[in-house]
Formats: sequence, structure tokens, C-alpha cells
Amino acid sequence: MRTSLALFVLVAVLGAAAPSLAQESAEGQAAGGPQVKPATPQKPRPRAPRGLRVFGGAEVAVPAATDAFDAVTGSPVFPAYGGGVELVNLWRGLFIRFQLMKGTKDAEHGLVVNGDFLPTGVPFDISMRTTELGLGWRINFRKPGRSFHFGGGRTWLAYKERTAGFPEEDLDQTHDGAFVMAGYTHPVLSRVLLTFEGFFRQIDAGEGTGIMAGFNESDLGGAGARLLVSYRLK
Amino acid sequence: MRRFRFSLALLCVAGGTFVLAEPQFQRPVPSVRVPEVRVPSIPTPRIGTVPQPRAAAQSIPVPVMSPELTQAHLEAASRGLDYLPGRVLVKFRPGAGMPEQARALSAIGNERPFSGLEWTGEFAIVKDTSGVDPRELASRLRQQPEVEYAQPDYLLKLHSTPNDPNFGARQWNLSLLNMPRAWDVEPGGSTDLIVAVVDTGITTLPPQSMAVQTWNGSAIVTHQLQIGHSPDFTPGRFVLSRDFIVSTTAPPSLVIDTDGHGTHVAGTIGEDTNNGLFLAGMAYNVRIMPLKACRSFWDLQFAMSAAGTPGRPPAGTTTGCPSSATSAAIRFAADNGARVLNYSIGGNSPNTVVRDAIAYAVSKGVFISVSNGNDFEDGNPTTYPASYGPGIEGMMAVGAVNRAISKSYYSSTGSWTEISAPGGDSRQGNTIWQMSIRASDASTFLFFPRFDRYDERGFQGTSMAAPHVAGLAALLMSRGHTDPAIVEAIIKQTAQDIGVAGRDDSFGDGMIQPFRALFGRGLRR
Repeated sequence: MRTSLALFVLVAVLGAAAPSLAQESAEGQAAGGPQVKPATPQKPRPRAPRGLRVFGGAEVAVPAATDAFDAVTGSPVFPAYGGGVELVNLWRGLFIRFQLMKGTKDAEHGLVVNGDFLPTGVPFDISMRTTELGLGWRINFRKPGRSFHFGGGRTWLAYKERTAGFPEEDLDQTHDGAFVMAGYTHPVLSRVLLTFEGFFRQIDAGEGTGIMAGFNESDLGGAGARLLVSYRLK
Repeated sequence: MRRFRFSLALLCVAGGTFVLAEPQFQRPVPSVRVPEVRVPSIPTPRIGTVPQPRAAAQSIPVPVMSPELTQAHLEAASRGLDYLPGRVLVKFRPGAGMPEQARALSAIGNERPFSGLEWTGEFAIVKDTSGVDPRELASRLRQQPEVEYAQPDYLLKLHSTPNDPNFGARQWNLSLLNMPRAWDVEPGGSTDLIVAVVDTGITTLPPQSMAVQTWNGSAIVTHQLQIGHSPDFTPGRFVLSRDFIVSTTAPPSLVIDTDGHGTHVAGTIGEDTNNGLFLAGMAYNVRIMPLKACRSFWDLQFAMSAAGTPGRPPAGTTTGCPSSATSAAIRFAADNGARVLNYSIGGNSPNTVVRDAIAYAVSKGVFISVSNGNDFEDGNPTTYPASYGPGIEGMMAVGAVNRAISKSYYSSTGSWTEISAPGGDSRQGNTIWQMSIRASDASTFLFFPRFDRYDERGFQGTSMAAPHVAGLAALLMSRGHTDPAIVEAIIKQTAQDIGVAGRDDSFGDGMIQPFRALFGRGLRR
């Protein structure tokens, strides 16, 4: 909870600082450019209208519990797919985003003995669905549609384990945490945008009794990257 | 264009949210790697007579002990000794050649020709007829520079107490351990895996009669003894049976259980299961290596009579397991492919010979389960070799719990207790049921016993707890966990903590959980 609050504060501070940073950048370019003719008084750029974007995409995360995920799934990478909506230009570059991502991966039960993972040969599936609600700031470049953004917010995780033939071993858990993100958006078509984004999630789930406990890991979050295709509805 | 935009928007929304509509997994979950088996059907216990085998016509002599060893056992029984008189086990230091060994032996006045020493494994059995107490002889030998250690040939005892066969519920122990679910993960273990049972033996022969000399109350007579294997053990599951104690008059591979303890212990480890007969065992597919290292009352009676000694063994004579025999059996198992060994035997004197044999076997990749002792109400003395368990990764000392998952009244406690398993508790009305020789057929009140008829019998003791751990180890080994130290670590780590939180002297790390040990853990659970 404290982490989440801290991230919100961080986003707010960054959001407040961003317009002035953007302005300084514009002024710097004007001052450093060739002085061919006297600069004409710059017109204030028209404020971008509020808009709604829907998006879908895929992400690849490297969980913070790297050892545990690597042990049971054979790889420290967890892919997911999903989408969401984004309200943009709420006030200057401020945007709000709601997003869901879900991933499933084959895994194998095992035990951690003397720091080593010993698989038992019993397969199961891991499913993780993350819901994110975040605020961010978008800095538009001079070329239309291109922008840099950053932000953060709160995330909720629905975690599941399923083992065929052993329903008593199934597990359903929910945890929450916080995330930060930053990325670049590039226009592809007039209403279609491509966003490449990095993110970091922190979701403290406690150690539990499974392989994560064996490796003294408790964070179901992690760092990753995602590619989103957005469509501007308005 | 408008239609295109609308379609694209729809695609984004659909792509982003389709997964959210799934309440459950819709992808088929792979199931091929989990063997699906039927839960073994355990038939209603039969109270009363079990169909009896028909004796074959052939008649061969029953193996008996040498007269010398018989005399030692008789003297030990009559004097209440926990060692065999006139025998000391000696291990010489590496590099000590025959002259040095002869010099060391001469220091105790042993004039026996050096070539007459009986060797078993790394130690020699020094036989002394001077009448000096073997403990004194061993003490003198230990002072010789050529001697690494010396000890009497301690007689260990079996850790069980037979109980009324028609009393109590049967096989609550396997339900308590959730074995049906454990079998869903590993159904009965691998047929390639060998579990050695160092005990009173397990009869491997089909029903037949064998000639034996015995006492009929007034004279030594020849008797046609009926013997046969348990009907709930397929003979093909027995491998490399070997007799280490009464084999002097027959091939050493001829093993006959004339007590029932060994058969009962082997039953818990792996009695035939899912065959519609009698009871179940934990690792019912593995092969059993019957190693007879304990003599029964009847083994002694037959040996006495064969030696021409009239009468019966002294009253109160029970089983006896010389350290020389049990350690030789352990080494034999290690050298002949056994991966798990059950040792429901113990005593109250330090026993270096057995400890070394266990260490040797573990170093060869054998997991060893040892009973913790039944002497809690008899002063709770330290039990050997159980107390060597904490120092040997790959050997576990097993205490007993009852149906209520509390300590069985008899189960010894101490810093050496490593793990617990069901051992029964007659005071709580529960014992461990397996097939064994019919009690009335092997009674020491008889003149003419028989060992070819079997009943479901309830025993209690850490002798009965240890084979549960051996059975679990066999299942784990069948899953590919072949390092004895790893098997021990898995069993400890997955145990159900009972009693005081954490490890304690009554239960060790807790009661075994075969399902958890075989199934493992998920990422979070």
C-alpha cells in the first residue's frame, strides 16, 4: 500500500514537472537552431482535444521471483495478452488507463532441496491476470501522433494454479500492488498507433508454501515490456 | 473507411478483453504425465481362515544354524545376554597385514590359526573359547595399535510386538498417509527397484514340506515342516534372497521366515495390491530382496535338535539378530543392487560394525530406514543403530505414531529421532495390519509348527513404522530421486509437523506425507 502511494506521488510530481520540461525542450531547440531569419512570435499550440483510445497487445515480463518461475516453468519469462482503454488529454498531457493482461504457462511441480529445484514430474498450469488502473503524462513531439509517456498506478493480480486430476491442489489467489510504466507511441495509420512500453510491477504476495517460499521469493510482479496497438476513437 | 475504422476498433477491444470473459481455463490441461490408476481396492478383511496352500510332495531339509552358533545363541538366551558369547567383531586398521593382525590377536591370548578367522565384509569374527567376556576381549583388542575397533557380536532385537489379529481397524495407516492419492502420482513404484528387508526373512518358496529335526516333548524326531510364501506376495517379486544366519546346511539363497516379523514388515513396504486379495502395501510394484539376519525361536529349536541337543530353547527365547549377520546383510544389499533397505532392528549398545555397514550402503546409493526403538517406557535408552541416523544423510531413524497422530506409547524418543510414521498403538486400539504367518501355527507352545499359512495380523512397533518410510523412499526413488541424501531431505521437508513446532525429539521433523513428497509443490502452494 505504501509502495502504491509512493508511486502515485511520483507520478503526480513527474506529471507536474513534465509541461515545463517540454517547454524547456522547445525553447532549447529554438535557441540552438540556425538564425536564418528573425523568429516569428510562436503561436501557442492548440490544446489537444480529449480523446479515447482502445488498445490491445502483448507483453513479456520477467518476474521478480525469477528463480521460482525459472524452476517450475523452465524459463524466467512470462508472456501475457490483453488490452484496455485510455482516456487521453484529460488536462494537458494527463491520461488515465485501464488495462487487463492475462497469461498462462505450463509448469511442473517440484521441491526445493538444499537450494536446488527437484521436479516431481507432475504438470500444472499457472495463470496470471493483471488488472491495472493508472495515471500518466504524455509528452507530444512536434510530429503529430508521436509521444513519450510515463505513469503508474495500482495493479491487481488474479493468480491461479491448476493441476489435471488433482482439483484439491488448485489454487486461486488475488493480490494487489503498484506499477510504473514509460513508453513511446508512434503513429502507423491516421487513427492507429503503436506503443512500445516498459513497465515494472511490485505485487507482494507473501512467500506462501510453494516453490517461491523455497527460494525466499514473495513478489509476483516484475519488469517487462509490451507492445500495444491503439485505435483513436475520437 | 468508416467501416474499416469501426472494425479495427472492435478488433482492439476484442483482443484486449477476450481473456477477461474466461471464468476458468478453457485450454485443455495436459494430463499425460500423471499416471492415472485406480485406487487400489482393499477388500473387506477376512476374519478367519485364509485359503490354504497344498503341500507339495517333495521333501528337502530345512536349513539350520551351525552347532557352534546355535550354542552361542542358546547361551545368550539362557543368560539373558545382548551379545553372543565367545565372539568378538574386529576391524583392523588399513595397512595392517597378516603378521600385524596375528600379533594383535595374540595379545588377547587367541591362539586360533590365523587362517581360521571368519571374515564378513571389512571385519573379522574372532571366536574365543576361553570364557572371557567378549566385552573384555573387545576392550583389550581396541588397545592394540593394529585394531581400528572391536566390539561384541551384539544381538539386536526386532522392534515390534504382535497383537491380536482380529482387533482394530485395518490399514488406517495407509489412509492416514493419503496413500490412494500418492498412488495416483506414483502407482506402486518401479518394478526395477529393489528394496532389501533385513529381518527374519520372507519365505520365497512355493508351498511344500521340508524335513527338519525337532523336539516332540520326549525325543528328537524328524518332522515334515510345511512352509510356503505369503499368498499376497507374487513369488516373482522376490530377488536375491539370502540367509546370513542359518545358512550353514543349505544354499544361502534359501530363506524361510519362521517368525512372521519379516513378512509383516515386507508387507507394509510392498504387499501385492490391487489384486483383490487381503491387504495393500506402499510400493507394491517394487522387487523385494529378503535378507534373513535374525533367527527365531524355531530356528534355534531346529538347530538344537539337528545338533542332537535334546529339549527346547530356554523359556522366553525370542528373536535375535547378531550384528555380524545384519551388517553382512546390509553390505550384501548394497553390493547387489538394492536401492532401499529396511532395518527394523536395534539394540542399546553402540554398534560400530552396523554403523559402518550402513555408512557403506548409503555411500553406494542405498537409502536406509531404521526403527527408532520401543523402549520409551523402559527407561528410554539410546537406540543403536537408530541414533546414528542424524550423522548419516541417507539413513533415517523412524519413530511411531498412532491413529490420532500422537506418539505411540512405546516409541523411543531422543535427539536421534528424525521422522515419524504409523506404527500402531494397541492402547489406542490400533495396530498395523499386514499378512504374516498365522500366529497359532508359529506359537512357541507347539511342538510341530508350520509356516505355510498366513493371516492378516496386527502388529505394533517402530518396526512397523520404519517400512512406511522405506516404502515412501522406494516410491521416491522410482520417481527418479536416486540420491539417498536427497530422499531423506524430501521426506523431512514434506513431513507434517506434529508435536512441538519444528523438529522435536518425539517425532523428529514430523509424520511423513507421501502424497506431498511425490506430488511436490506448485509455485505458490
